[in-house]
Order: sequence, then structure tokens, then C-alpha cells
Amino acid sequence: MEINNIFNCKRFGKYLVSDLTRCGANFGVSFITITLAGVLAYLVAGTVSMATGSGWYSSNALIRTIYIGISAVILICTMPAKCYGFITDKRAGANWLMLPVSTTEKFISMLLNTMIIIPSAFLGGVLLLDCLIVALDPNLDTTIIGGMKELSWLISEMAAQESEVNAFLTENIANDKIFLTSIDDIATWILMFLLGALYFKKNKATKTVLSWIAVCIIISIFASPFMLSMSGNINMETINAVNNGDLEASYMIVDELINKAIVFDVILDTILMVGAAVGIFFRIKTIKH
Amino acid sequence: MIKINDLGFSYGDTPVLKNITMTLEEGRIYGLLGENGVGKTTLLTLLCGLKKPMAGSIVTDGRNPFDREPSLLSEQYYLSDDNAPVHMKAIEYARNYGKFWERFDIQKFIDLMGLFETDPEQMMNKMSAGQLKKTYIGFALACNTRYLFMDEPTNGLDIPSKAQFRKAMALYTREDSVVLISTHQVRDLENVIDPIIILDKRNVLLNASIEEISEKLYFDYGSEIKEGALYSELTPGGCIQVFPNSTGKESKVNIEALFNTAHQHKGLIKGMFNN
Repeated sequence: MEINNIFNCKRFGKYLVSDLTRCGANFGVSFITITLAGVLAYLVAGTVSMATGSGWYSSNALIRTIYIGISAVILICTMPAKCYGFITDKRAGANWLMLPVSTTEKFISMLLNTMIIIPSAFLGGVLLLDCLIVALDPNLDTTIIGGMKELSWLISEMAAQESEVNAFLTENIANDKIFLTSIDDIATWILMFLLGALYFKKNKATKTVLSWIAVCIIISIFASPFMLSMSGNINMETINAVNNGDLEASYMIVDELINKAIVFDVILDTILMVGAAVGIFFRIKTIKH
Repeated sequence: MIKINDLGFSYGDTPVLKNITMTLEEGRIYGLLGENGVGKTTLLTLLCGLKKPMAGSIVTDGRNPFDREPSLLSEQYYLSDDNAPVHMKAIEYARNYGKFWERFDIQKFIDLMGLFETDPEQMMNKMSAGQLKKTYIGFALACNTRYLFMDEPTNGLDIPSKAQFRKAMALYTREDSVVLISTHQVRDLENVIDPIIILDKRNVLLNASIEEISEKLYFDYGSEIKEGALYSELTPGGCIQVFPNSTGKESKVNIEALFNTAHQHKGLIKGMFNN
């Protein structure tokens, strides 16, 4: 029987399950700890408050969102190295390379696990645990999803006290368009950390962060003239006109600027994601032990 | 069949293998011998596709191992000298990864673990080095591959385990497979390996079957030192001497003595065996 050397659905299905099992073995304990970190922080805050005689402190939605945000950053930084960092190890990496699965299948499975399955499991886990906290704690009535809306509202309110332009800007910043662009930022970060996990032999996360900072500096140097030319339409006169009550024209300029910035961000992230994905594929294809 | 043609490999500016040409045929368990640093492990890793040849070629059933195509990978297994202590039970490891080799036999793995007196329910990262090695040997043999590359399989095994290994090789190796075992522990594998390949610095010094070796060299196990020996070694019961076999007499090949003879008379041995 002829074996397909590029992609075979049955083999890929088996490999995906086996790959996820290995991720569970390598990263399971850390994953559970990171997912539970928000709950632990909530319990610690409450316990410390009780111990100091102030009664039980129920961390509100905003604070719990911050806990989860920090957990998510830790997850993004550590998960790729914990799940796939072994590939640079001579012993474990050789076993993995010799597994009768194609490079394409190994690559797709790696992307599915790190970019969709594990982050979704984390998000599902933290949201479920948060609902549980809200259901059990009589002092709480808002989950973190509600908290995010409150945060957006709070920022808008604070900004509105200064000027209408700020209110307009912050509304845009908090709106769905910007939220969606942050998803591709997260995807880019995961791919960058995965690339770092496959190239660096030791201190993978630290070296990736340092390399990422260097890449960002280089991008900023090249992108600055472009960004400046985009924002050239906004000048002091426009801002003064806004402050004098002539808002309509300025709204359009600001809206256009934000849209351009989003397009720029999406293009940049797409280039980085494609670059990182190509780098990951070729690393898998050509790594030697 | 594996065809190696003018194979060359170096680490930076240091050449390790140069102009290696040989053919590895089915139904044989090759013993790959050589001093430290002559490139035994490098040759094994090149054969299984973990490294890319810098010169020449390796062709396994018409395919290039470095392409790492599943069709070839499922026909071969590489057992490294140093094994990874996976965070899984041995049986889980076998179930999780064995399914990728078409002919993997879980019952055979369990039988081999029984033969090696190692508990398949034990976590691999809690095993001793010897137990871990036996688990990987069991897995390698249970894969039932046509090409099996083993790097120092008896290193770290205790005395009973070495006997168990020989028994496992005799019982569980496929008849049509090509097995290449790199080793320094020639006494452990004396009755297992045939033919013998001796690597010298960058090159093949000898590649011959035990039968060919015994046709061309005579191994004397007497008690007197005789003149004209290519190699002599005193042993507790007498001595081992190696002579060119001019009379056609049969003798039992002592691989350690063969290796030392080849090491001391490189040109002669190379010429004798036409490598």
C-alpha cells in the first residue's frame, strides 16, 4: 500500500492525539497551576484579608481580570517551550524526529495545540472557574466578562471628563475592532515563543523575549516614518478645533487614523506570523541531532 | 538494502567520515566497531536521517533518509546510546507512540519487558538508566522494523540484562531486517553480530562476515606464544594469537582480538579484506 508522505488524515488524527498527550505529560501540571492561578490569587487575597481582621475580601471582576491577564502572559511565554522545547534536546528530539509522521503533520499539530487547543482550554477553564467563584461568593455579582465591559466603560468615563476627543479615542480603543487586532497580536506572540523554543537550546523564554525586543526596535525604526506620515493630518489646529467644539471633521481624521493603524498592525502581524510559521516549518524539516 | 556511496561528513573543520562506501544487506546483524571518535554514532545518525551527509549519498530502498518520509521512518528505528526519561509509564509510551509503526506489536513489547524483568507500569522518568535502556530496546524490537540502528545497546546493562539482550535479539529480530549495532562491548555481542564492520579514522578498515574473517585469519587459543602472530594477548588460561590463515584451518573468531589486530595492522587488514 502506498503511504502518503505529506499528509494522511488518519495518521494526522493519531498524531494529534499523541502529541496532545505528550503536551499533557510535559505541561499538564504547569497548565493546571496557571489556570488555577486566578482562583489561588482570589483565595490568597481573601485569606490575607481575613487574617488581618478585615473580613473576607472578594476580589472584584477588574482585579480578577488582572490575575487572569498575568496568567495568560505566563502561559504564552512558557507553554511553547514546555510543550515543544524538548525538540532541541538530542535524546528526546531524536525520538521525535524519527517518529513516522510527516513534517507537515508535525507542524500542523504543533500549531493547533499551541494556538487553538491549549489557549482555548485555558480560556474555557478560567472563565468556568470565574463563574464558579461568582456563584459561590455572595459578595460578587459580576464575572470577568462583565468586568471587561466595566473596565471599558470606566476608561471611557475617565477620558470623557477630560475631553470629547479622548472619549472618542478610548471608545475606539475599547471597541471590538481593536479587541480583534489584539487576538492576532497574541497569535504572533505564541508563534514567536514557539520559534524561540525550537531554535534556542537553553533559557528559551528569556532569549525569545530579548530577541523579540530587538525585533520590535528594528520594526519601530523602519515603521516610524510610515506612522508619522500617516498621522501627519492631525495637527494642533485640528485638536484646537475639537476643543473649540468643531468635532465632526476631527472625528473623521481620528477614525481614519485608527483604521490605518489597525490595518498596519494586521499587516505587520501577518508578516511576522507567516515569517515565524515558515521558520518553524523549516526548523522541523532541517533540524539535525 | 542500504547503499552508502562515497559518504563524507565533518563537524566544522574536523572531518569524521570520508569516502565511506558499503552496502548493508537484509538478514544480517552488523557489528559496527571502532575507537572513540571515529564516527560510529555519526554514521548511525546519518543512516537514520538525523543528520545530512555533506558528501556522497545514502540510499535506503531508493529513498534518502534525511527526507524523513513516514514511509521510510515506519521501516526503521534508531536506538540512541542516551535515552530520554519520558514523563510517562512505559506501557503508555508504547501505546502512545507504537501505533505509528505499522508492524508494532504491543504484546511483543510486554513480552520483552517481561524478558527484561522491567515493569511496564513504571514511570520512565523514575527508571534507572539500565531499566530505561531495556524499555527502549523492548520498544525498538516491538516496532518490527526492517532497519534497526542501535548505538551501544548494552552500555549500562547489568550482567543478566546483557544475556537477556542477546536472547531478545535472537528471538525477536525479523529475519529480513538489517540491524546495525555500534558497540565497544564486543564480548557482550560476540555470538550476535555478523558481519563485522571496523571503522578507522574516517574510513572503513574491515567489512566482512565471520566466515570470511575465519577464512583469512586464524585465531589460535593455545598456551604457547608462537612466532609470526599478527597479534598476541595473554589470557588467564593461555593466550590468543591471530595469524594469517595460510592453511585454511577453521577457528572461532574472537572479535576483540580481531579488532586489536586490525588496529595494529591497518594496511594489511585493509588489503586482505579489499575494503
